[in-house]
This record gives sequence, C-alpha cells and structure tokens, in this order.
Amino acid sequence: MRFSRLIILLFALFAIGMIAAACTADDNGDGDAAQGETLKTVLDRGVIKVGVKDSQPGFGNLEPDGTFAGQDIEFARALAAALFNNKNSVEFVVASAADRFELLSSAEIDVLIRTTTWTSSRDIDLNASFTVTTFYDGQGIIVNADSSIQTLADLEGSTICVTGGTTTEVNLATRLGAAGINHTALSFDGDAEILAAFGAGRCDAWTADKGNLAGQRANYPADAGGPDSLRILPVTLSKEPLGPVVRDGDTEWFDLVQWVVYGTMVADELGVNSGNMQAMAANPPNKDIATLLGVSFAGGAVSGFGASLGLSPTFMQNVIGQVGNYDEIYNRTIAKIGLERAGSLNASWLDGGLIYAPPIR
Amino acid sequence: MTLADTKRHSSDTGAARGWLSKNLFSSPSNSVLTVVVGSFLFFVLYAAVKFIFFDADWTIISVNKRLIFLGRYPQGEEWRVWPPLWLVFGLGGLSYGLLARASRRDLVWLGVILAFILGFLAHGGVGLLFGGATLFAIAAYRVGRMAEDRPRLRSRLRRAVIVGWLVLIPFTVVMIAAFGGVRPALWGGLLLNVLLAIVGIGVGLPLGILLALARASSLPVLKAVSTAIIEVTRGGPLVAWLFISRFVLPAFLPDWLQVDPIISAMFIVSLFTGAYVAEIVRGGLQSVDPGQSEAAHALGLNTFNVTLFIVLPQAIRAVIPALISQMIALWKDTTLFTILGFTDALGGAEAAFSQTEFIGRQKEALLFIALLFWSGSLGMSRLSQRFEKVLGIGER
Repeated sequence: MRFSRLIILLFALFAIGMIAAACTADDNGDGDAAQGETLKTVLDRGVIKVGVKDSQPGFGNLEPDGTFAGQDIEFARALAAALFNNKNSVEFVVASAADRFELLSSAEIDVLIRTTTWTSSRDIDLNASFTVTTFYDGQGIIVNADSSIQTLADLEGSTICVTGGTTTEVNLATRLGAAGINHTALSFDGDAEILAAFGAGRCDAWTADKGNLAGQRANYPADAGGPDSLRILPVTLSKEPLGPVVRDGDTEWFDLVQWVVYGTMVADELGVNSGNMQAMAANPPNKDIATLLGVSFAGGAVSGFGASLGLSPTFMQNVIGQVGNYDEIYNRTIAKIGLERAGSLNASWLDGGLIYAPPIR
Repeated sequence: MTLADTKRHSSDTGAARGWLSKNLFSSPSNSVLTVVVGSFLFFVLYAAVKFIFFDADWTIISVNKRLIFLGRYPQGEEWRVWPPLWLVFGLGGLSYGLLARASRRDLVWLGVILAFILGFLAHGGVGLLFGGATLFAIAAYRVGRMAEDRPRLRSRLRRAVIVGWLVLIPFTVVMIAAFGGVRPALWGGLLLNVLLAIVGIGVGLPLGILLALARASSLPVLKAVSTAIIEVTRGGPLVAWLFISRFVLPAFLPDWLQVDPIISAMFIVSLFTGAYVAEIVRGGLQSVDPGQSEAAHALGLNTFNVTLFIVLPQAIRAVIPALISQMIALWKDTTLFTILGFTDALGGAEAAFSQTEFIGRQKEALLFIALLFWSGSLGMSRLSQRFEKVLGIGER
C-alpha cells in the first residue's frame, strides 16, 4: 500500500499549497480599488484594458478586418490617446452582458464602456461608478420619411405599432397618456410581424428601442423604399443613459476617465476639432480653449488640468488630434446607423440637447 | 407470370410505378403519409434552394471570412498559421494513405469541400497556399500508399505520423504565440475552435483513459480520487466551469499561478472531456471478459502489460462510436468559449451580422457556421467509420 500512502501525501501537500496560496492572494479580491492604484497599474502596463461589446452597431462591433468600431470604442481610444499619446494602446476585452461587472470588479478591465445603462441599482449595489453619459439612448419612434409626424404632439390620433407585453408598450401608454395624446396602440408578437404591418400601412408609427429601430431602418427592404424611406423621430420615451463605468473607490481614475470624456464634449462646445486643433493650440482664440488644450493664453501662464489628473498638460491635444471631439466621434459612429444628432437628446446643450460638460476653469 | 408482372417489366415508367406502389403507396395510410411527408419535404427543399441560391446575399461571408476564420487575430501575422496547417494536411494525407485506399465517396466529399473553399473562400495568395497544402496532402497520401508493401518503411512512417500528431499542438501554439507572436486573447475564429477541440481530444482522451483505469482499480485512494474528479466535473455544466475558471479560481490563486484565460479554457476543456471519456472507457472495460486478463496473468504478464496490451485495446475498440460521438459533442461545445470573451467562429458571425451593412443577415451567417461545424462533425464521423472498418469492428 505504499502507492496509496504516496497519494495521501501528495494530497496533503496540495491542500497545504492551496491554503498558502489563498493566504498570499488577498490582494486579488473583489474589494474597491485603492486611490490612484488604477492609473499606476495602467501606466505600468503601458496599455489600457477596456471592456467593450463586439456586436452592437454604432457602439461597439467588430469590422471584417478584425478591428473594433463604434462610439464606445472611440472613447476607449480617446482614453489611450490621453494616457499614452497613442490611441491604439488599448486592449479590448469582449465583455458579455453577464460578466461585464465581474470583469470590472476583478480588475480584468480598467474601464467598462459597453452600452451599459446607468441605473440606481448598478451604481449603488455593484462595485461600479458611472462617470459620464456619452449617449442618451431610449425608446424611439420611427415613421415613413414622407409622414407629417415630426414631434410627439403630431402623434395625436395616430396608430402606433408596438411589441405586446413589453416595457416598450407600457412606456408608450404612460408617456403619451401623460402628454394627453390620443392614439391607438397596435400590439404584435415581434419585430417581423410589426415590419409586415408597418409595410402594409396598418400603422403610422412604430416604437421600439432606438438601437433596434436604427437596425430595422438600415435593413429596410429596398423594394419597400430602403432605409431612406424611414425616419427616426428625435424623441425619446424612456431613459437609457449609457457611458463609461469604473470601479468604486479610485476617484482619481474616476476623474481621469470623466474629464477625458468631458474634454471631448467641451471641445465640441468650443468648436475645437481634429482639423483646427493644431492652429488653435498655436494661437488660442480664448482662455477656455487655451485651458482645454493646455497652452498659455495671451502670454499668460499655462493653465490646464492635465497635470492634476496625472496626465501630460497637453493630453487633450492628443485626444482631439487622434480621435476628435464628441461631435466627430458621434458622426463617425452613431450617425452611421441612422440616429441623427441634431434635435436629439444627444445634441449639445447649446442646441437644446443633454450633452453638457461642466465648465473648465 | 401474371399480367401485372408483364406490365411492370414492359417499360421504365411501369417499373417506377411498381416501386412506388410497393414502397410508398402500399396502403391507404401509407399513401397519406407519403403525400404529407413528401409535400413537407418538397416545401422545405424548395424554400432552402430558393433561399440559398436566390434570396440569400452571401457577401456577408465573403466580406467577413477573416472574422469567421481568424476572429480578432492581428493583420500581418497570418503566416504563422500556415506551417501548422500544412503539417495537418501532410499528416492527414499520410495517415489516410497508411490506413487504407481512399474510397470514392471520401474523394467526392473532399473534392466538394475543396472546390467550395477554393471557389468561394480562398482567392489569390491564400488560394495558392491552400492549393499547395492540398497537393502536399495528396503527395503524402501517395507516400502512405507506396509504403503498403514495404513493411520497414511502413513502420517507420507510422512512427513518424504518431510523433507528428503528438507535436502538432505544441508546434501550433509555439508557431502562433512565440517570438513576438499573437497574444492568446486575440486568437479567434475557427482557428480557436479547432485548437480547443484538438487540445480537448489530445489531452482529454488520454486523461479519460487514465481516470477510467484509476476508477476501475482496486486501490481505494486512487479509486476515490478518480471517482471524485469524474463526478465533480460531470456534475456541473460546462458553462459553469468556464465561469469558475475565469472568475472564481483567479480570486484565490497566487499571482504566479494566474494563467491566461485561454490556458484555463484548455484546462477545462481537457478535464471536461476527460471525465466523460472516463465513463465511456469504463463501460468498455466492463465489457471485456475477466477471463481475458486472467488468461494473460496466467501466461505471466504483469498487471501493466495486461492492462496495456490485453484489456485496453479490447475496451476501447468496443466504445469507438461513443468516443467519436463525445469528440463531436466537444467540437460543437467549443462555441461556448465565447463567454470567456473570445471571438470564435460563431462570435465572428455574430459580430458580422451586427455590422451596419449586414444587419438582418443572421440567416446567411448562421447557416454558414452550421455548415462549418457540420462538415467538421461529418469528417469525424467518417473517420470513425473508417477506423471501425479497418479494425473490423462489428463484423464478428
């Protein structure tokens, strides 16, 4: 029985090893991140790890050549440009809906930018802090391009197709009821049935999540008029704010992610884009632009916020030069799936939208 | 000879009618069944042909073939994939040649697959490399055939083939990853499915046999350990094990034991396959008459030799269909690894039909993926039948 004794010995050794391993591995737990720890890790690594989606057009999807594209991807690249002056210093980790917060809290990724809706339960209960809303998604309405319906009020007396038994249906009734708009909701089992009914003219409008509507529009059959025969109204019936998420506890990293994104929005407000950035940096027209780009204004001292974030003072020059401002990012990505920025919630606050960054000073 | 018989032989239409009435319309209920099933089949076939050749837009595949076959694999590193692929082609051809003469059916199938690949998927340089690999495989097959009546060459080639298959996995991994190669996180597409399946089979099969022998042994500790491993592994769904390997294990392993997700994926796939193979092989072990090992012991063989040369060959022979079926299941299970964040063939297809210009082209993409996995499964199933024929299983 010497053989079995050997096995018992091996087992005992294995058990001791496991216990020892467990004791030495405390720092791998799921605790909140320590102050400044994330930035140090990222800089040491030389690359930022971002959790993204690979199958959402306009936000994060894989292109035929195996590279990523979308708004979420662009913000990841903006972070890399800010950190390393190289928008390609990103390691994309494909995160699923099921494991995205686990990936974040176990420090497998530094930021989660994956069409993640900011909700109370996620922000409070999970080891996750939402930084900025980069896209206000929500339930939208699609009509024929030649329809007279332009705003929510124009839906008075109309018939609206909707998928039965969903929150979409509830939202429609709630929002239009509150606005006192009389309408008839026509419920169907799924998108295919609605598509048929809509094509046959049984309803004046069709409501669903905007991402879905954009997809349906992009794929609208050519013999029915193709994508151009449909128009998505710039109204939103439910709240789905999407944006980058970081771990709880590391406010320095939170600030960094937040202000790189805000920087792109401020640049949009100030009219700084990838085309005119060089000229603006050389000769800033006003104090705000000088602060944003980290250069001196009218011979005064250099005022910027890069150094306090642990970045180069001119980090926004890298971001805008390599990736662009919010508007450029939007037009390259989400506008491509048929969601116009003008008149939507994602327009700048100057144009009546919700994209609003705190002032830089 | 009755009048009916004369009529039946009088013309082809008569013969056909006779066959029909005998096989399809022999009774009223059979006639109804024939009409119902026949019209169902007709409509399915009609819809399929109409879709595949007229309605479908296969540009989603031709544009995204890179995504489907290589996933997020970086541009410019493709050359690393070719040497292992050529090795596979060469070894495949040589193994086939050593085993048996190619049957016409196999040749037709291989021809169809090759024509499909060269006509639809591989053009230009890729087509040339692929065509070259095919010629290489054919040459290897010829060499294998030539060795048939040269016993010394044959045994040497056999040894070379076995060594070749054994070094295939390490060689592939080294080719792709070493010398500034591609990070495992970027391995993807069908390449990843094939790699995981090969590792699963290559490591899982021997592991399973060892576990089965341990479980069948009379040493209580060995038996308990192996039973525990088998039952615990089989007790959880594969997806659960994948999640555990990704999120639970790293939490209490020390830093120096932290492994890349692909390594833990390979570990899980091997363990999982091993556990199922163990139970299949145990069934085979039980089917071997105890008289066999008693007789071998009586002839003076030691336990090791009895197991290796008397019991195991008979046990495995008996369970080859079940083993192959397990391998086919494993081959398709490799798509589950997408949940670890890999973009495998299925993930590549999903990404493809999420691209703005291909939204709503799920049917084409998923059909193509189904075709890929079906041809892999069919290949394995044909291989198993060939094996069985060579070993003379089921002919006793």
